[in-house]
Amino acid sequence: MSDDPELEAFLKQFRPRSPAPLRRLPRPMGRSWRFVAVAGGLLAVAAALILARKPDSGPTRSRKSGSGVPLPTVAVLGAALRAGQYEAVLDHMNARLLPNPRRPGSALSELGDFNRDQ
Amino acid sequence: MGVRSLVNERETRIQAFYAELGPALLAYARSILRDTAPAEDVLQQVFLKLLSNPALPLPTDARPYLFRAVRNTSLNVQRSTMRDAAHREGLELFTAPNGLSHLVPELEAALDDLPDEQRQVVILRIWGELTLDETAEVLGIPANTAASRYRYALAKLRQRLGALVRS
Repeated sequence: MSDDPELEAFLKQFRPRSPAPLRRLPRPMGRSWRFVAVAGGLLAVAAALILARKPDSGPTRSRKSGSGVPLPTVAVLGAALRAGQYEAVLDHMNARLLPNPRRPGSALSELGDFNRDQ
Repeated sequence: MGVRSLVNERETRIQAFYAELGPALLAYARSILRDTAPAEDVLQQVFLKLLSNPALPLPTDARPYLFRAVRNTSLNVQRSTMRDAAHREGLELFTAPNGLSHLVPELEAALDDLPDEQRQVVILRIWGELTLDETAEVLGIPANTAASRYRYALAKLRQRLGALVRS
């Protein structure tokens, strides 16, 4: 039942305007792709930073002995241990890694001469 | 039927509700907030919540449900912003067919001058196309109260717009 059909019909001629289009929801896939993109970007930056470092700085230095001879890897030492040649390998390595006290002019040689003179 | 197609079907239904009921829902939100910009925000909030939360039930007859959701959200916004009714912006809410567009400001002024509870009933009944029972349900009032508010509102509108109606 209508209270005032004429007025109601008059009012219904006016239409409320449409709202703005509904904003789109971010898709879960979109989120994961963004995550992958950001992670990739961070990795690229990290790689660029590592490559840009000078060779004589940072972690690369610890990979070498003071004489510049590469240190034996754990794998090499492990293999030597299993083959029963651990001592022999170490002795061989020492000859290459440790400074030679008999080398003329070396610090150890000079120190030895000094001690003898005292 | 896979989960993805269920989600798509739900999304399509919600989009269809927005297209069909959007204008009336916007008018209703604006009748509470007296400002179109926050009313638009309320609509976006309600529909985005529906879209982003598949666990929310979507009744077959979503009309009363959506008006109720818009009402609750609008009241929350109104409470949080304490918007002053004097801060009304000039954007017209209604459109009219040729020959009546000059009456839009008159209509909006007449609606604005109604008491809040009467204005809401008119919007729900005329442009929301809700029955009296549905209107009462949305507003949380007895159907008789909704009917009398509607009657009073129409009487005031008739008094204000009567000459225009007859012409």
